[in-house]
Amino acid sequence: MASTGGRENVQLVVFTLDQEEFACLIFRVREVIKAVPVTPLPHSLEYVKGVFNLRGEVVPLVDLRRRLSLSEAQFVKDNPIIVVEAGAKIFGLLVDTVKDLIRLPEEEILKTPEELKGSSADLVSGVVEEGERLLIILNLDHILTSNKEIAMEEIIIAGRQLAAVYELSDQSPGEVT
Amino acid sequence: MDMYAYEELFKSEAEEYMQILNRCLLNLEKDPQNKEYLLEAFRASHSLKGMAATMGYQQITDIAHGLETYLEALKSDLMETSAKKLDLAFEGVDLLQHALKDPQDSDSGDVEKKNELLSKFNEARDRETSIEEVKQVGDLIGKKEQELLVQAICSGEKPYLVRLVLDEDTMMKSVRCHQVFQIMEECGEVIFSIPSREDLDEENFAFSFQVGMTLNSDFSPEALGERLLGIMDIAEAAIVPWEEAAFSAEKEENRTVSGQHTAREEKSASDSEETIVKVETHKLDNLINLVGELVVTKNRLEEFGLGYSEEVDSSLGHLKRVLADLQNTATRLRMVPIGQVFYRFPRMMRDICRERNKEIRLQISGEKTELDRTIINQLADPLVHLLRNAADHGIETPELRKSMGKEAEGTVFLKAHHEGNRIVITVEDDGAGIDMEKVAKKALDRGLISEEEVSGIDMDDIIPLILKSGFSTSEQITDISGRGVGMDAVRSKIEELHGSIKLESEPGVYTRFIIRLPLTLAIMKTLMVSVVGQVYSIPMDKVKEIVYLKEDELKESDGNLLATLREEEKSLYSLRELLGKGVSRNHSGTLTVVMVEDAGGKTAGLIVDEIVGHQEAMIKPVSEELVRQNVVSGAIVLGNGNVSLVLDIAGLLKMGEHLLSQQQDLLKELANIGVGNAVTSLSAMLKDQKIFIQVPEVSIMPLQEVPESCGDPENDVTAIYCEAKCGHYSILILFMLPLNAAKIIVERILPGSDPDFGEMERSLLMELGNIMTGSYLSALSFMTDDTYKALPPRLSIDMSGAVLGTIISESSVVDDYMVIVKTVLQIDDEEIEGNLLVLPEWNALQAIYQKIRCSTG
Repeated sequence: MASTGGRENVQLVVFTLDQEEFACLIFRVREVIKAVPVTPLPHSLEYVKGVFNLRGEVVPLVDLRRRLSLSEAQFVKDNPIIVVEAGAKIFGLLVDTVKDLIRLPEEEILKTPEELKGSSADLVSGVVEEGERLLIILNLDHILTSNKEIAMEEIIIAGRQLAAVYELSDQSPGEVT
Repeated sequence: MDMYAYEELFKSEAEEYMQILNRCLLNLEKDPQNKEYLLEAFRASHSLKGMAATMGYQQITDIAHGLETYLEALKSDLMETSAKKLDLAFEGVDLLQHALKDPQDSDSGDVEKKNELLSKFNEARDRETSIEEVKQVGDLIGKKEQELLVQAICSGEKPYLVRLVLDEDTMMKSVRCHQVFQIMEECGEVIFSIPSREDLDEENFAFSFQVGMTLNSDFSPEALGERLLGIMDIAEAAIVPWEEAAFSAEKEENRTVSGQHTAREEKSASDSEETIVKVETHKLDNLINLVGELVVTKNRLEEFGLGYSEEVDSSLGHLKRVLADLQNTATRLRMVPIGQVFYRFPRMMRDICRERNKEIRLQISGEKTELDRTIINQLADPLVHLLRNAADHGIETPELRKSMGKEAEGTVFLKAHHEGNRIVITVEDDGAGIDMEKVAKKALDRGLISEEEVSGIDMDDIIPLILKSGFSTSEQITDISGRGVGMDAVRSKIEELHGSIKLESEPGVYTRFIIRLPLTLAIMKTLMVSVVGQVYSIPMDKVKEIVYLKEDELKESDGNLLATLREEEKSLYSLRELLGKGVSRNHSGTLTVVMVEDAGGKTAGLIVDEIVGHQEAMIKPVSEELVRQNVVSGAIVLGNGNVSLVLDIAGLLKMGEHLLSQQQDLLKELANIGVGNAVTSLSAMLKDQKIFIQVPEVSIMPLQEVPESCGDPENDVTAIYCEAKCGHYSILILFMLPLNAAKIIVERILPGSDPDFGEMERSLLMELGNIMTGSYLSALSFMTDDTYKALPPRLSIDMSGAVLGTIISESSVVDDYMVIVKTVLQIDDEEIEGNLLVLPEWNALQAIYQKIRCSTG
């Protein structure tokens, strides 16, 4: 895990949904908060829990489980909310748990190559392989602004495909075709 | 650095200069002698040029420079500043405006236009400069000659000054002069001579004289010179363009003076700038946001700290006052005079007048009235619509006006003033007024009103019609107005801005639109109501009154709840229902109803659980993308930190209006498809029998009325019912047949069967019920593309009232109203009336409705 070429380290927030681990880049994350009082939004999409007050700003709360076609999160006091910026807006993401914060050199993120964009790969903006563990970095801009139905399995498959692409080309991001 | 930020700054400043330019030129048009306007316009274009040059916007710099020099030339004009000259200046302003849209774009398609204009400017300026020279040699030639010369210059001619010297021994000077003039008149036109022709004829001069003249296009000065020198005794003939002939010393002096003048003006401009600081709007918004936060925190402090001790109380009191001041000041920061939007209209009006050959005076007042700049920015479009309407439909042609005994020139008033916490904007014209008959006829044609409504229609009825979409009474659609979308757009914009619009008119006399708007949208007074434990806010400007209604004051018709208030029938909607929080058709006890009014003046009542209070609060935006149907216009952070949604009244009323009719249509459609399916299945079952099912009749009614509508509750019926689930929703379907009808069917299918229904007969009835309910469900699945899982059906034979009671109490469906699809089965020649009852959960109905609407677009 040594940094090479003096490239900058990036941090990832790792969270779980239904025992699966996902990550998002820390610069997209404003903060992680505990459950807050939520005001339901009438006639909203199924996965929108409502809106909440984040220091004077009114922020929509997205139940990420339902967004990814899982059963609804039990809205209990311990469920953490990751406040993220996506598509120039702020969202609260309700997840199962926030596991850790990892720091790694930027080049270790296997970014989704441009050629893959537009397919199901736009669910995933990159993956990180840590031994056995495969961390999928969600493309929140797409997931939170698209109105298509998305299933968690699609994301996992897209992540594995991406990892496979890199494996085939000997983990060298530059040579991805 | 961030050039984008500078560009925005540049644009906003440039916009101000453009306003000055337009305003000055318009004033100049009215008052051509007033050089003050010219000077101001000149300074504006000069400043604009400087700014554009600093930013490196070549296109704008060039145009502004051209305009500046042109205006400078106009400044020294002796003649009246004619309309034609101003047109050229206006052209320049238009080109500038166009270039300002994208300042960085220096080589867009307009280069040609720019060059053309610049050369026109140059040409015109040359003329103007020549005129200036005329003034400067004013001592030399008389006033009359000056004017002649200027006239020639103005009509585009190029004057020359011809200086002739005769030989000293010339004998017949007058003859030579005569010859000179003869040639000159052949070559062009003589404007004047010094000394005059009379003096020359009488030989009252020494040996030289001067002639001012223009040359015909086919003669060059050289040719003239040659011919003149051909005359005997002419020693010298110098022909010079007029400008060169003028005295350069005087010119120099004049230039210096004007230079000083400009410098002085610039200094005074920069003096006044020191008192104004330009701030980006988002910084202001941030400030106001933070102040709002402080207010919320103060409220919390008050909640906990008040009464703790005298010191705390007095500090809190002080904090409260300071905060109120701070909030007031912060809000005022966003206020700008409405003139910012008014200033562009005189120009627009002028163009319309020219285009449509009308004479209209636009009279503006109250342009200093201040309001929030976010509102001002959005006001331009609606006002343009109203003013164009006034000019196009309102004001008659000058001829028509005269024939009606009105002044040929029409007047359009644009006024603004404060009225309490609101701003009132009036657009009024002294034109034709609104032709009620025409409007009524049009409304009838468009199907907006019925024949009976046409007679007895009055102004109060007409006004909402005009504000409706797709409505235009103009006989010809022009590019100015009359597309019939305008007024609707105006109304919805005003609505969005939490304002109202009213219309007053007297045929042949005037039409007046009155717009009332809040001064700011950032802070709003709201009424807080609770619905199913949630606190919602209703903008106070929409609230007409709060009424408490008893059950017996309500009336239900076609599923619509009505109440009569001051002899007017008003629709009531359950806020619970509109917000998708379930249905409550159980109107016992006293209802709390908030009567609300949308911007178009439509009133209706919203049934709420209770009134919580009212407050003045900052409105925060709420993302619109995450909702299917928008009934929320913003949110408020309450003192306890919770969020209360601000309801969009217009959206809610519209929804209330459509909800029932849309649902009924949908349910009818479902019933039709379902029944179609049933016929197919039944025919298969009843092999040889002919079977028909009449088009079903669908109605929605409160649960308690259902047994009655299915005949006497004590009648014996056969009922087959099942509950179906789809996702989180469930729906109850029930097929009910009078017992004797069931017996007939069973007899038909199984001749000689047990009239008391044995195992066999029961399973047959079950099958029949299955077909009916299943057909409906498959229609539902087909239309919503969802899977409905039906639980096993059950059969019950009892009195209908008892059957319904049991089924409803056993099912998990809680909502208290029902959809009934009445069908009549015809087997051979026997008519059997059956009822298919559908009890959908409210949310299910909503989901179904949404699904179908999505899939059908």
